[in-house]
Amino acid sequence: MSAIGAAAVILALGYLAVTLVFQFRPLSAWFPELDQLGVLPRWKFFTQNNGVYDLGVEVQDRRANGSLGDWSPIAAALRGRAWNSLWFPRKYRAAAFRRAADTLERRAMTGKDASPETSLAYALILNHCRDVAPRSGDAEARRFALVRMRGAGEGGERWVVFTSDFHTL
Amino acid sequence: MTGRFLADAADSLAFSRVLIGLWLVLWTAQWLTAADLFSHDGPLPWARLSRVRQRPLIGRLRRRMSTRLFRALLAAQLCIAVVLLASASVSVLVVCLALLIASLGGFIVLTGEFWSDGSDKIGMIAIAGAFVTGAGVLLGDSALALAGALIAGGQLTVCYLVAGVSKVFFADWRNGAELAAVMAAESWGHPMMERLTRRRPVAIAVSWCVILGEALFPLALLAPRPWLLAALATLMLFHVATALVMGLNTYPWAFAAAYPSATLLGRVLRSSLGWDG
Repeated sequence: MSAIGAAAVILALGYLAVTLVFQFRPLSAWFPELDQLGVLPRWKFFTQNNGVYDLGVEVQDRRANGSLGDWSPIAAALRGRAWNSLWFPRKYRAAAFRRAADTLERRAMTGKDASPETSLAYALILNHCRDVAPRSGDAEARRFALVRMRGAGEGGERWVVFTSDFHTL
Repeated sequence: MTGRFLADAADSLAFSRVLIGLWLVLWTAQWLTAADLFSHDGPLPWARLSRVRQRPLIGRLRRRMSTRLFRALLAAQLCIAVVLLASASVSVLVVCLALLIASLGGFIVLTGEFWSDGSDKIGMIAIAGAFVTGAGVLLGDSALALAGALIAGGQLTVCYLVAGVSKVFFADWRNGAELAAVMAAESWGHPMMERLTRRRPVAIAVSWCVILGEALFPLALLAPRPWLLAALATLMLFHVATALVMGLNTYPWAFAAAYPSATLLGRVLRSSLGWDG
């Protein structure tokens, strides 16, 4: 056994041990980039209620005369077709949108960020809202709201977690 | 033992090479199609990404990016994946994997926090593990080859263990409510699965199958090889199901890429316990 090989084995075992520790906060919250890069991944799939609540995005346009349109929902989720189990490039936009909404909600709820509108999450959601929802008539500006939902129909829960400013279309 | 282990490691690399290559061909082809997400009229243009103040060096790189350059880099990565599939040489494998680590790492760093998921993470780990194992085979260093199996196969084991155990501590997973809610959610769900999991006994049964299948995987490493292969096949069926139901189409390929390392690790563990066979 070479010294390099032995060191590599020890490092690999240490890496696995650190990964186990990294599953817990606050360590994982301090270094989220390590998770994204797969260097120190977190493996808690669907154990943080992140799949249970649906995310809705609604947009409202402001017309040139200052009047406001109705809030109208836009698609945030992307229901795949059967062939999407093999080929699904459209998922990246929807998945990024979900993650951005989670991020923006966290920033808004914790109050850590004085200006969430400068964040990438906000920019991504805003651009998505501009892209997917057709402009109504003489609308000159648009804002969006993040709406968490659980359950469908009248028995479902629904609450607004964030409302943006108006932005020029 | 050393010679036999290195031969086993070389055999596992033959499978790793193909599985990693297949995952990357799919991944890269999808991203080539989706590259305009970062164009000037996409949801997150390079120009906007480059203005993130905490990342000045990365910001400079992002300012130089364009959709054309991004596609060129992805096309180069696709070529590397094809070379990986086509060549049986361990030297070529090691070089390709080193390039892929840089390429994928660069992609994740440049594109930021919203675009990679669990399959990207396990795929990166499979590549890193195969790289180290390949280096060990090339140098005739069995310990180095083992380190690669620990990285990929060990991390796969940690992944399943943590995923399963963390669900056990969640009451809604134990009573099936979490699974039913996920299947009913617009984001992740599926109409057929929603109808099925609305029945509480079905939801509980499926939930516990997932929990136990994941949490008990480490034990499969100690089982005879046919049992380990059966456990991996069962987990692969789970990933295929999530691809069909939830659109997580890259997960089966990425997780499969780490399976050869897991079988190699299982062989080492059984051998060290004197259970070889």
